[in-house]
Amino acid sequence: MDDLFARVRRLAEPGAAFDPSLPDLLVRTDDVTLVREAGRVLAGLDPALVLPPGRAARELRVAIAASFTADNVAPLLRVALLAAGIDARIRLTPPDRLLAQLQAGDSELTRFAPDLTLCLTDDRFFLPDRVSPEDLGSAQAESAERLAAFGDAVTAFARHGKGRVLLHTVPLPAERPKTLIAHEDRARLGRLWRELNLGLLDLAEPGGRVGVLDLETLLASAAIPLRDERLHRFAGMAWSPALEWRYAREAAGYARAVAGTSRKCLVVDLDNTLWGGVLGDDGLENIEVGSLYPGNAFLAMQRAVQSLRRQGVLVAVASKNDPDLVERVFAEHPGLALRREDFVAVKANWAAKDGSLAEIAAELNLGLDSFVFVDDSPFECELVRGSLPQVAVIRVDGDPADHVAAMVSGGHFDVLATTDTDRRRTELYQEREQRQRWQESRPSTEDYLAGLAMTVRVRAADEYQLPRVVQLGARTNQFTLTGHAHSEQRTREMATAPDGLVLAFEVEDRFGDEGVVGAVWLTCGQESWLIENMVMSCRVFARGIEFAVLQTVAGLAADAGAHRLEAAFRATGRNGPAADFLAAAGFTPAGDRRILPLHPERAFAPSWITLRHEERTTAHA
Amino acid sequence: MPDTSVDPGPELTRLIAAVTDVPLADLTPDRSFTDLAGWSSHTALRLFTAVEDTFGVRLDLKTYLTTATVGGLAELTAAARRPEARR
Repeated sequence: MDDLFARVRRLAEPGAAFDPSLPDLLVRTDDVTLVREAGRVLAGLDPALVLPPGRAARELRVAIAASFTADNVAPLLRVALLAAGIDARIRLTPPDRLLAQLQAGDSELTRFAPDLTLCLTDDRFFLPDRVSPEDLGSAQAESAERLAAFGDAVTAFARHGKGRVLLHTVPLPAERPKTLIAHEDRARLGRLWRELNLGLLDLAEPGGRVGVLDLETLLASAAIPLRDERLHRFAGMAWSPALEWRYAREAAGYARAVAGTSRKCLVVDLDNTLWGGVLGDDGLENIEVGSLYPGNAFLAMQRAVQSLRRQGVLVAVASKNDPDLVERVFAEHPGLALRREDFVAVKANWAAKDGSLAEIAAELNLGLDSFVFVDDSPFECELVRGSLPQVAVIRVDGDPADHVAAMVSGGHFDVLATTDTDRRRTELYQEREQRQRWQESRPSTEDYLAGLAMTVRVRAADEYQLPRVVQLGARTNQFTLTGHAHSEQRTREMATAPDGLVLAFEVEDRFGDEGVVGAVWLTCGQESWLIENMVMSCRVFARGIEFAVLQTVAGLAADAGAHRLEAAFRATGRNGPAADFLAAAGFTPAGDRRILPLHPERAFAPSWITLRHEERTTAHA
Repeated sequence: MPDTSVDPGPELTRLIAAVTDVPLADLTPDRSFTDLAGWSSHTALRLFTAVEDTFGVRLDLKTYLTTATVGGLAELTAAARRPEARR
């Protein structure tokens, strides 16, 4: 533990230098003592010391509400959250009164107003020791009753708070079935326990604010002891340190989805990452991919990459290879699962890979902190780690059978739910590339924009658009006025409130329909309308769409009799495009707001955009 | 991996310093844990798991809880690391 811990300690010295690679190194170690002590030291330090330069951490209030002693989870969670780009304020509630903490509207937990509440429970919370193990009828009744009470408390808590709650399935220690001597009874207990866990999984409703982590499954293939019975009996600690660390990392994946710091683009190497062997040396017909080991391990890796792509992750290639040969292998090799159209960019050349990654980021208009890079070469991994500390680097060394687990275990791409846009994302980016190529053939930018024949449709977000609107609010880092994501519940409240309005905007042009590319959250007062936030996908920058949307907003506000628009604004270190937009539109700063008078009326929408404002569709329409 | 050929002295002292936030120089063998600033039952348990995990040993919890000094813990740890103490 010494070297890494010395680096952590150094951060506490006056004038300490930045150490942005530290959280990633900590999150990959299994030395729980190191991480726990590091987490305690980091709790007192400025998170900027361990984040890539220029990147502001997302702040998140996280409560740990446990039915057992979970004090040691807090420092572990801090480290895992820092690695996910989150600066957390962590509050631990006392373990003995979990239900009351959840249920009471004025409990310590409720007053803390957490953005995320991690609810930790152990087997004894649902099946106390006093129930005789052989009395399965009583055990059944007791666990069902306790599950119902827990479900009620969680529902009540979700109702009076605004944040999200993460529950988990509960593993049953092997000693409990083993105290039963009849195999039949062990099976009945197993069934009873699965029913309990099913009940817990059912507490998560689609679109709701309760999530459930399937901890039982996570433990099934990990060599992690559930607990240390001595510390359990002595101090009420129901989880082993290794399990606490496993959980902290999984919970950080969920927090990443809540805070919108999930990564969006996967860049993979080819030789010995997506197939075995070296394409240039071994030839197209000799690379290892197919039905036999090790080819089947590489095929599994390709399928996993493709599955990520289908769920909305953009996939690109950075490989030191002959570009023509790479085109040929994707076009001709019969054994590959991945094809050229699965990728948004293919950089096959002999240039340094950090340069290739930067090029891909520029082409896609995404920040490098949205990238995950997977390669088998220690040289390439170290190069990228050193020169692009914002990129998450995963080295797939060793047996290719372990590649998939290495790629997905960090939870870098975790989101709360996927939408229709996710399934079409690669296609949308490919259309964007066609658009850019076409732009290069046009004599001027104006000519290009006019030739796109763009239509922008703005309307009050309907039931079909809301999930995408919420998702855009959470994943947009550049064009966002505040960096604050409105929750699904808050968005729904605003969409139906008499003085609330949530506008979704869609864009279509000669290359296709982009669907919902942005949204505006409005509170409509008499004198002024407040833009609580406005977000727009970075895919559609530099086309004047935001000004067309502002035209609609200004028109609606003026028609309602308002005299000015106010916009909330908070610099996040990443949202320069939104600041530029407000300035260009003529908003002037006033405190933490930006103000735009509505008189005299002004034209904002560019001439090359056809603007359609569609009236709110009613339930009866 | 634990290395049984190394004297636990400096390594154990560094570990205690990390867990308790007490400077290395203050951790003399006769130093009593309860005199350390901020020492609590919670610190005691963190140190217990830290020693077990770092040295790959299993300590007797009851004996550990009655171990009062840095030197006493060094002795307990050393005894647990001897080959005959291992399962």
